[in-house]
Amino acid sequence: MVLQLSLVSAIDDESYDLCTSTLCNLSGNPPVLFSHFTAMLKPNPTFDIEQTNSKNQLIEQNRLKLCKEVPLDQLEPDGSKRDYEMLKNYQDDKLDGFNLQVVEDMLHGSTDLDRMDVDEAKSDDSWILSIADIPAAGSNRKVSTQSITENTILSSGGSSPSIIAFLSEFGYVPDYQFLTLGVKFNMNHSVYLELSKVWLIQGGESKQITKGGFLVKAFVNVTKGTDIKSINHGTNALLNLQKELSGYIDLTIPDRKSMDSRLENLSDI
Amino acid sequence: MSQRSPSDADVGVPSSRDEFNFQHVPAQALDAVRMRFAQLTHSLAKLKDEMSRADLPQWYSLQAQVSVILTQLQSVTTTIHHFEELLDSTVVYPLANFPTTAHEGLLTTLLRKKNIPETDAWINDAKETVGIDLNTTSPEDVNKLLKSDEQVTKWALGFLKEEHSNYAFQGLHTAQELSNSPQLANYDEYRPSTGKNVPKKPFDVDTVLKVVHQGPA
Repeated sequence: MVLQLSLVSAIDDESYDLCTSTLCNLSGNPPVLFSHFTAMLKPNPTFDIEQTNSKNQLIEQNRLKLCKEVPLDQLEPDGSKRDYEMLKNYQDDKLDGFNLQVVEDMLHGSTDLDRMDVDEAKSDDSWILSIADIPAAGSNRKVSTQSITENTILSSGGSSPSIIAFLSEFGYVPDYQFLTLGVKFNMNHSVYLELSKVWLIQGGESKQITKGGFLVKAFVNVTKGTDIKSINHGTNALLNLQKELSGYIDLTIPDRKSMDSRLENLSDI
Repeated sequence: MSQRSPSDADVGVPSSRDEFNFQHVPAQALDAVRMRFAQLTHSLAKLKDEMSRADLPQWYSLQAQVSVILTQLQSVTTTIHHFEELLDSTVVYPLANFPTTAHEGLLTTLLRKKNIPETDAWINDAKETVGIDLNTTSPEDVNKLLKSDEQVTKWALGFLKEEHSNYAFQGLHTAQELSNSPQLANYDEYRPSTGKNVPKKPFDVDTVLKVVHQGPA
């Protein structure tokens, strides 16, 4: 279980160039391009899941997050052009040059008969499975604190080798999917800063939810939730970054309710 | 030798100075204008004097003087404008006891209403420099041109100000400068740029996070 301390903000598309070079100079490191595909899963609604357990305690149904890196050569075949400037080409709903079928294949296994070879498909079949709690409450918090439990699925066996089939055997079905494209900066004191764009993927179509700009997220991961010293250290590092960027990018604590991945049908506590 | 509107003056011009009523002389207005003009001529003379010297003064001192002159010019025009009605309706004539023959030169200078030839030349020169033929351009067009000129000036000034505010000009030194004169590091002159060139927030972050964590509504 990791504890993620974070602060968020947003910038517009026009500021991207200046912002990346500013952060690049500030961190002393070049930006790292990344892209994730994320599938959120929810407990199968056809099951009649008890709302309380035997001790009459409420059972909270939570979504599962399934995440996988999307190979960047799917987006830009030319390796020499694959840098942070590439993100400027993606300001629309459309992901030009990216075949959405790829993510479908990743989830359900390839439909291409030539690639059905099981041994080959297994080679990069690992997924990151995580489940996140609602960020900690309290009005005098300086950063958002969220605990995340994470594990890696290296391979899925069973009757069908696809990851979706595998998780459906645990009672989880796909809810929604999105693709994140962005750059990550490795700031000092193990603070990471991400500028990213997010596309919702529904029915073979993509829709950008960060239109006109980039989501900015600065975070520190603390390995153990009981390690107060590291938590304080991380909090201070984040607050220092917030102070350093104040007036340019104003990092703020996100609303904890917006980071709640529990199912809505349960009353909020 | 000046008098407020001739209507209340005697038909027979007063023969002696004692009989003349000076109450109607717009002394206050004239004095105000005179003071402003005195300042302006003084400044102009000083500037002319400095420009004719062998070594030119520093550009910033010249600029300061020019801006003072512009302020004074502005002050003259506002003062004249303020007393416009009074000065317009004032008619000037010499009193009967003025030695007109002895001081003919002075009298013609004082009573002259036409511009002197040099002034006419300046005005024509200015008109030619503007590049607008006033004979063919209608007053509305001239006004329009003036307005657009003002707008361009305003824009340029605003642009300059904004660009200036985007950069920090003071307190940054190279390593070489610092090693040459270490006392530079002793005091901190650095002023961060006050530019308003900060990124806008094109969307609400919480809404995006909500979609990411809870799916599309």
